[in-house]
Amino acid sequence: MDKTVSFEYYIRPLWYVVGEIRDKVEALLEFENSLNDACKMVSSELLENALKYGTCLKRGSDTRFEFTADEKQIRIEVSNDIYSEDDYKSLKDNIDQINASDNVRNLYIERLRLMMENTKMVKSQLGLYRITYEGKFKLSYQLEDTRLTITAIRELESKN
Amino acid sequence: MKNFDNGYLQIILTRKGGAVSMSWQGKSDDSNPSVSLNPYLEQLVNELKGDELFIEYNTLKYMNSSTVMPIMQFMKNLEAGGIKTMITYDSGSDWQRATFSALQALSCIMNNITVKAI
Repeated sequence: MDKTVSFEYYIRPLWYVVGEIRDKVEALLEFENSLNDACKMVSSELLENALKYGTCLKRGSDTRFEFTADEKQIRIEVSNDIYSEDDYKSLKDNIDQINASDNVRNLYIERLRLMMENTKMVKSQLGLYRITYEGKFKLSYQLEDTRLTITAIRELESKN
Repeated sequence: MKNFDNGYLQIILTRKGGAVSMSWQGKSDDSNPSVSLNPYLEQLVNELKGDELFIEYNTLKYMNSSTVMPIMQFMKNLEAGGIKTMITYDSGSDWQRATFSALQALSCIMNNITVKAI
């Protein structure tokens, strides 16, 4: 990809928007298929997490989605107000566990095994595991007051 | 046996003698796909007793991580129901290989479920 692609949305927490943004990502990117698929998946999973576990505490604090890609890096960022401290702690613990792991595939399979044993598990947050294992993106988070930002970054190999 | 269609995801069933083919097509991106898929798939397990099942995910274009739960529940129910099942996925698709090879690893402890890349 020879140019920088960048766009930003402030969205109301409505589910159909996830599909719209996935379509937008697909329309704009010029990577090979598997990388395009990874970008769509990561965008979707981050937004779905925000809509499921996030909230809108005050006017003007809609969910924010930002996508930036150039030949060196893809960066996808989603911000939203958190619904509860418990949700934040669960998400933080999962991302910390993922980032500490040297075998994300095994971690993903272990998560599936837990879900298989407990199919009533409500908040699996499997999407976070999928982003790192399948999408090969690195996750980070930042909490400022009640505003949570999750960033997914994938460094691209140089063509040269 | 009925097909499934929510406007985005279609599950098409075809019977040939004692074998049933199930093809997942389209996209699965509901916020909670278990709500619509679990009752449909549970009913299907009851109707499949004594049959052999071939599940094809090759033509599925996209699914979110929330879809994994009803798929695993379905696999558990098929295993418990003693229904011999072959699940195939597209090894040429990165997302399918990542998702279904992980399910393939889990299926090793199942007697009736086989997951295979094609």
